This record gives sequence, structure tokens and C-alpha cells, in this order.
Amino acid sequence: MPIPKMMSAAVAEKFREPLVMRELPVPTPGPGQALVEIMASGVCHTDLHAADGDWPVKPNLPLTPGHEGAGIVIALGAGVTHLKEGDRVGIAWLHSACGHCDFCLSGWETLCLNQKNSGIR
Amino acid sequence: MNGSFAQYALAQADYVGRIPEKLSFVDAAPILCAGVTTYKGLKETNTRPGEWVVISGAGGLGHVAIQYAKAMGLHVAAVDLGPEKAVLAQRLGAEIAIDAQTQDPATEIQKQIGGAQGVLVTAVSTMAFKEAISMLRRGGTCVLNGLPPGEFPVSIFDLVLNGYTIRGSIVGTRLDLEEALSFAAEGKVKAIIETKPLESINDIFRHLKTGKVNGRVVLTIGAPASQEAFRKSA
Repeated sequence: MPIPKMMSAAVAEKFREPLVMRELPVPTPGPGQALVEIMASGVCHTDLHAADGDWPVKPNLPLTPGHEGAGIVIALGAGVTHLKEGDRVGIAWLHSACGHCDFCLSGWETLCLNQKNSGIR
Repeated sequence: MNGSFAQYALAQADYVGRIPEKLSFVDAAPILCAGVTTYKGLKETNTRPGEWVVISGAGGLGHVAIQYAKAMGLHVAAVDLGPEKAVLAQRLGAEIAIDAQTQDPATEIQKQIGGAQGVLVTAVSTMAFKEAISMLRRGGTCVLNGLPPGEFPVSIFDLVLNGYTIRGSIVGTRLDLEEALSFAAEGKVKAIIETKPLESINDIFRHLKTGKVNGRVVLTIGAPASQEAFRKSA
């Protein structure tokens, strides 16, 4: 199935204002990444905090929130060997962690200082 | 990283959760945050099967937490506001359900079970946090999952003399996520879900702000047909 060039997304463009439906380019997976076609996404109160800029460190805008994304892998970036197209996967809050700090090595990757999070930039 | 309120999203391949075949995408979605967060929070109470845990708040997180606690072999007491929430909590497996509008939760928990070894706070009121400590048994652990802005007072005397532990807990590791998804795939945990289209996100946000959401809202984005088409072409 060909991957479309554009996609619909709900985007936070200004804090405390409604999200805006936008047509954005479908991103290309870089090394170590996978492109996931989202089938379902939960809505968490944290998404609302992100869109409203409620945290001491405000996220960068524009931003597509959402960190309960369930879908299907449709493309893989370079070097990804343990996933394949068609795999059913979930994208959670912990988008990635560094994998080599004390926290990551001791089973506390959720506390990694260099973690990236989904739906916040 | 841009998130999942879109038709496509990038994932870091090493950090995705694997969704079991038996679990639908809609049922899997709330497990990815609400599920894993409360499951990890329950682990962090250090309670063991047969012990008591109080789940404070029976909303988006709490109604899932009650089910995980049961599946983990814990006795469950639930606290929320209003009779509907008490009925819901009991339906999901809570043996004790306290309506904090009509009963004092700490008094009731101490009277009925002598305090709980663990308390998991999923509520988003600072009052619930103060109350939660008073529901502990000596040596018990209170874990905080809810994220209301603000602070809450803690009695140093109570904390020291009763040997309480208070800790925060944020989401879970990849292994926690895998376990949380397994419980759901086995049918032991199922979020109460209302599905909506992506375009209704601002209405959903408005309802979240006013506390009008029951259970969890899931946006249905890709058509299931697209999944079938993919499988056939693969």
C-alpha cells in the first residue's frame, strides 16, 4: 500500500486555544525510527496540559499532542531489524530514552534525563 | 516528538509497545498511558497479593487501576465522589467503595480494614492527596499518579512515627508496558471507552476540563479496513 504524502493532524498552534485540523506532510522515518499508521489514540488529561502550556517548561509549538497511539508499522528507518511492516505497535509517553545513563541501566528509563516524550516537543 | 493525534506518527523503534493480536487498537490505546501508569503505580506501592490497596479516584486512571489491582491479587477499596462512582468501582471489582461526599474515607478505611498497605492516588484534587495518607496502615506506601497543580500538607509526625512512604510514579518502562498490555489482552483489564473522531478533539478537551468524561475517550483515526487491506497486500 503506498504511503500518502499528506496527513490530517490536530495541531496546537497557540496555547489555550483550540487545536486546529491541518494537512501536514507524512514524516519519513529516520534511522532507528518506525512510521506508524495510527488506528486509535487515547486522549489523556496530560495532552490538554501540553496544549494549554500548563507546565513550567512550555512545549514548542506547533505541536501534535497524543501519547496513547495504537497502530500499524508501515515503514522502517535504517537499522531497524526487530520490527517489520504490519506489526501492531503502541506509541506511549516514553518515546525514547538514552539507553546508557544510570537510570536506563538500572531499569528506570522512565527517569532518564534525556528521554523524549510523545506529543510534546 | 509530535504525537498520535494524526493519521501517521513516528516512533522510536526500540521503545514501541507490542500490541497483542487479541487486543483491538481501541482497547489497547488507553493501556499505553492510563494502563501502564496505574499498573506501575500499583507495583510501586510494594503491596503483595492478599493485601489491601485503596484506589483514590475512579476516573480515567482509577477505573483501570481497580481492575489491575484485582488482577494482581490485591484487595481493593475505592474512593471517589458520588454514588455513581461507588457503583462503578464495585462493578469493576472493588470490595469496598466509599463515596467521599457522604463518608469520611480515612475514618472508613481505618475502621473497616485497619488501614491499607498501599494507596494509589489517581484523583486530580489536592485534597485527595492529603486524605490518602490518612488511609494508610503503619508502614504503608502511598503512590501518587494524579497530577493536579499545587501542593498538599503532610504531617511530619504521622510520616515519621507511622513509617509511611510517599512516592511519585510516572508512566512505566517498556517491560511494565508489555505486562500491562498482556493483562488487557487476557481480558482482565478493559477500559471503559467512548470512541470519537479526531475532529472532535476540542469538544473532548472541553469535557475533560469540566470533568464530564467517564472512563477514557479514544479517537478512532485509521479505518480498520485499511488494516485489512494492508494484511492482504503484505
